[in-house]
Amino acid sequence: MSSVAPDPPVTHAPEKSWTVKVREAGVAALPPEKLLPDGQPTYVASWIYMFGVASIASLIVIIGSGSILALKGPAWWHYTGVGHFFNSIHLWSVELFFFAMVVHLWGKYWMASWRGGRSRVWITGAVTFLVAIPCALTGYVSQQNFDAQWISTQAKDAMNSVGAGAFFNLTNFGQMYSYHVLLLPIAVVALVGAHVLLVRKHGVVPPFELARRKAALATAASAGSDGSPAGADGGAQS
Amino acid sequence: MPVGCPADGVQTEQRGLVLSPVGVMAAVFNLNHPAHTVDWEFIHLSVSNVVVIVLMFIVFFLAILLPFPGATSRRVARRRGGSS
Repeated sequence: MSSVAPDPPVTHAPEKSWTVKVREAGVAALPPEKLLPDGQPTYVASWIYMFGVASIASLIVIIGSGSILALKGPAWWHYTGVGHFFNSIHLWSVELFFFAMVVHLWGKYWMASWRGGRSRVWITGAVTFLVAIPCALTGYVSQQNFDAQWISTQAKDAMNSVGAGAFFNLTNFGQMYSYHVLLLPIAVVALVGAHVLLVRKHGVVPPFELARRKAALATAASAGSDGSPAGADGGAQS
Repeated sequence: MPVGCPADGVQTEQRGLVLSPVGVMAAVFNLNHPAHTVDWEFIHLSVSNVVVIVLMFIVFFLAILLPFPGATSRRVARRRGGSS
């Protein structure tokens, strides 16, 4: 009679909770040294790379001045000097925000900044720009003056002509104000947050490697090949 | 009650014309006329918008052309160090 060894006890790895899974996924995607780096590639030392952070700085001023205006109410800026001051801060920070964002957009477009797996970085940036436009326009119709009346009564026709008037009524001040101070700013800030995190994950897009591309083209031409510049994508990361 | 006028007895000391920077500028530039516009085919832009667009182009090209402070020294140090 042979003795049978008992089966070893089966041990299951403890199931991870969702918080652990989220934490591990977050740290894997964005380790601390990537999330808050203490250095940038050499090519970032150029003025054209400054307009993204200039946009964010303007956005912070917009949110701050807009919060004060929201606390005091939409008519406050009409009858107090302090209110008019904060309204002007709000207006000019919006002007700077769009100015910096457009230059940032031009710079990134001509760098083809969707290279190297950065398509989501490009998409979040472009969508942020598109969402910021109605966010600003709803501010124009929240001014509580004749300018706002003129803009809203003109723009309602555009909305009605495309069938959006039932959902987006320019002459409904409460709806426009809610869009302007809550819904659209939340969307813009969330998109900017996602955009920055994606930039941190993928790194700042490098410039085109023109010298390498020229050399590859010259080599291909001299070799009489088909001329495809293999390996000269320019999407190399630092 | 017109917008911007507080009710009687409330904040009466704050009533009156607000002398804003816009008002001061209006004294310098005569704004009491329809906006000047630039028209070309279907393009219809106010002069102020054209000025902003031109400024954006100027800033864009300056940002590309102007050297960034310390960029050259960093590049030289990187080449000497041999790091990527």
